[in-house]
Amino acid sequence: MMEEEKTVALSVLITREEYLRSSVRHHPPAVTGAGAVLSAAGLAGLFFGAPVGLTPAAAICIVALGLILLVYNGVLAPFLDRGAAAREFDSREELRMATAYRFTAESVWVENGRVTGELPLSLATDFQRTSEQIAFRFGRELSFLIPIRLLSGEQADFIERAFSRTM
Amino acid sequence: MHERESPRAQIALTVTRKEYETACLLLSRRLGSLRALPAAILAAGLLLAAGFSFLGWGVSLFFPLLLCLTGLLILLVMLIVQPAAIRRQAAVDYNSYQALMETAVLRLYADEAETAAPKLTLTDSYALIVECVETPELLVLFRDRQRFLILPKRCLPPEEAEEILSFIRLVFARKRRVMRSFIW
Repeated sequence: MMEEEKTVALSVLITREEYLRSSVRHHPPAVTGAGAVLSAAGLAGLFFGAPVGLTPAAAICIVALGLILLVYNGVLAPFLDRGAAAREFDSREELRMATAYRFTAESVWVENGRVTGELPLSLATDFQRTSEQIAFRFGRELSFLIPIRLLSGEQADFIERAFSRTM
Repeated sequence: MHERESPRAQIALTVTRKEYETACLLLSRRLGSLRALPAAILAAGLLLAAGFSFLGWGVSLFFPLLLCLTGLLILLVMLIVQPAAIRRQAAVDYNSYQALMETAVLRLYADEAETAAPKLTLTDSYALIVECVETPELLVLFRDRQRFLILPKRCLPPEEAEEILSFIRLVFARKRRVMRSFIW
């Protein structure tokens, strides 16, 4: 319900799949770079490693390690992230509880089985809006996720404007 | 109407930056990226031993050197680089923790802990606490791999300190771990 776009109030119960989709994190490209370097070094060692005492078996191991690092960010990391998120969703009971929110231009009232309070948006440390969800955090202690499907365009814009003004 | 029971203890919480960083390191050691620390130290030791032993075999220096450097790199990452990164992040997180938990009061009930601060109230059921780690200075209750509840022992009222500690040790008897630092 909105009153001249001054407040946005809603109750949210996220699904497991929505939480898993939000779990995919950005991993540093250095891992891919290291994989490329190791693979190249291993390949070089295969052909030119004899003078430095590098056996073909050791060179193949280095190439294999490099290939694993090369594909880590694109293949392994999302898989591991989803697995970790699934375990986290199953272990955190409040993720399976409905959370009530009431956003104003300066603060958000939050209430669920664990947290109750009015949090100034100026204390938020992270805010992200994607095509599927709005996620925001207050440090390490508090993180919240709202599926976009529960918000109209104006409501989502209001929330995003409120955060960007105060963060 | 059911009235809530009185808390077993009521403690004014003040957490310093150093205590917060220590709690983050403990959390990482028990549930996070430093879980593999013992295995990493063992692997590094084995690599160093293998590297040094190959040195005496009269073969090229490259392979033994590679083994030794890999072992040192593992030690460097797990004992210095990773903890430093955790401390840096903890320093950032502490600012928001302080802003949210300023003048917080921790109330210990029979089944749950309630942290009441001016801006919010947090309720943590003991059943959902994953682990309780006790150090000489702190009690840290791990909620999950990101969140925890810190109780510095210096915040305990002197006349009730032993009673409160006994209560917490009893509640978390099966999930309690005593550590001297984040390493052991």
